[in-house]
Amino acid sequence: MAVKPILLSIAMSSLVVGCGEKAADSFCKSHAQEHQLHQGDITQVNIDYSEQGKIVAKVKVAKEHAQYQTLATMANIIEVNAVKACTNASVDITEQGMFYQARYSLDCGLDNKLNKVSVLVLDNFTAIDEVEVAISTPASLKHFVLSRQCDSPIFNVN
Amino acid sequence: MISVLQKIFSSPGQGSIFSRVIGFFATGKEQPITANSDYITEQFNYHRRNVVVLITLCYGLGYVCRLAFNVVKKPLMDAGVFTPEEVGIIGATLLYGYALGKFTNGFLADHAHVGRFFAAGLFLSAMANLGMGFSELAWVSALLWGINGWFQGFGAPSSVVALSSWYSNKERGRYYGIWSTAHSIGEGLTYLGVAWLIAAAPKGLGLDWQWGFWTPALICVFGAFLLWRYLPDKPRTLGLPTVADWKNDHGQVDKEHQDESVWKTQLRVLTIPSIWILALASSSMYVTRYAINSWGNVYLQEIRGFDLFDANLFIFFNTAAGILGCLAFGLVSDKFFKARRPPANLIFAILEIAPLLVIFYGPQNNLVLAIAMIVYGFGLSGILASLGGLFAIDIAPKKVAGAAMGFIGIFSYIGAGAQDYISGKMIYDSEIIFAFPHGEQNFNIFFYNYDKPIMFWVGASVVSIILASSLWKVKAAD
Repeated sequence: MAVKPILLSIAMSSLVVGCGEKAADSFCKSHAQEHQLHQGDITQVNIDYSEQGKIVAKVKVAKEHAQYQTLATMANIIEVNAVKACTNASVDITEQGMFYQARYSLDCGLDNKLNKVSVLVLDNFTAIDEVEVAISTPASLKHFVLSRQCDSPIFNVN
Repeated sequence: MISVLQKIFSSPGQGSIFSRVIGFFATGKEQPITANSDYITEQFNYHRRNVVVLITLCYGLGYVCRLAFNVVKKPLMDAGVFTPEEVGIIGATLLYGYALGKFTNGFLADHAHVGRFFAAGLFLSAMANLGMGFSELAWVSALLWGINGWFQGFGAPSSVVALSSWYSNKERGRYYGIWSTAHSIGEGLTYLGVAWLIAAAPKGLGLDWQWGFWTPALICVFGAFLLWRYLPDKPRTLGLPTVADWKNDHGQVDKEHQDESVWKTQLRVLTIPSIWILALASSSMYVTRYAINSWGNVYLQEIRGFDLFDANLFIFFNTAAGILGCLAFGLVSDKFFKARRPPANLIFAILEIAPLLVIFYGPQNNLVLAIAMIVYGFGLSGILASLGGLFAIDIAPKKVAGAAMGFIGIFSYIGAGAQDYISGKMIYDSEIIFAFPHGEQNFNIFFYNYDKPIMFWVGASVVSIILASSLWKVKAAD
């Protein structure tokens, strides 16, 4: 007698899980496997935070999606919130065919504690829909894709 | 307090709603024993088969409602729902609740209809899991998870009471062994099953973290229904003789301390210095045990880059190897060291600490990691069986062995709970957020450094074995 409601709730849950998927959800769930098909065309961000406290960020972005002037100002691309201020900021931009290749470097020091690093490419270049990101810190490395269509980062990208 | 409870249990089912509820959970009145011996045998065979299957299956299913949080820790942290410090606090409340449950529920279970008592614990644990799926407030989750710890503490004493009611002295060890496999059934279901639900496709279903609580809740409701429907009260309440009479398997009665109060017995344990040292050793080892069970899969995802499913698979290797570790410790210490535990403790401690060093500082190779996890699980379970059980029983006078176990158990879970908070705090202190704002929204990627927690986890094992080795010359008491 008490089994019926249990079975009913299991069946309802299955329906909710199985049939309630939106198109964007479907894209976000499957994109990790399909990303490599357009990998060469999208914006790439590589950030390396070394044990010596140096941050080097490399941004490869299509010229049609970004303006040189905006890229040339570090504050438009990367902001660091740390216990002690970072120094020796430098920006270097080169052109590679249809892409800009920008390099940003900062020295935050050995004994510093980084709280937050904001990367502003999606905020300042609204034409960019998707960014592939690789970040390495002294402890770990993360590789993921950010898409405006998805609420959360896509990990385990092929 | 005990006399008040005794009064309540001795006159259940009358008066207020409260006493009716107590009456519902209290063990039934003893019935006159039926004269039909065929009927008695038939009933014993039927119920004994049910009891071992039900307590093993349902205690295993109950584990899913206890460990679900460990699997969804990383998705919760990634989604920014909780910080690692909050995750640590929530995890710790379960262990404190469980420590309290170990203390209180053992007493209650002795007076209870274990089928209803165990079922209520499992059902309420399911409700706590259900609530966890809706909570994004740290204090609400901590409260729910702490209460869940107490409900989780209904299972073990109920199972032990059922075992002692339905299986005689000479056969209880065998059935206790079968019941013990419930730990691995439960951990397997959680670290593989729940992880499969949450892990991203193609390895898992990629469901939201909430399903990591709701699915265990459904499983535990199902378990509670089975227990409520099929786990029987004690034989004497069903008009059957005691199992000792039925099997003609009576143990010795300690007449000298038969009338000694529980409090006196427990207080006597506190006067034994070796028990204090052993409690500290066990507590330290529980730090490592629960660090790996609680944070291991988060570490493997954060630092080693495994996905959720693979990370939990590695944790499962260590829990599965634990079955062999428990069995091997008793065998090795009995056969090779004439039942002396300290030499075996040292061997198993080396088997536990060496693979820990390989896991955290060794080569980044999946096969090496898998082997290290298996050896670690083997060594850890062996030494835990000793520090929290065998060695404690050796050191304590046999008449206070139960109290010694309880004392060490409480210490152990306080250590485990403190570990969860301290680990979470240390991990949170190392946090770096990489934020990718876009309009009103923000993608936040969290980075943590596990160097300090790892030193804490490995260090706890080293402290544990130093403490345990200080008891090298302690001899078993009578």
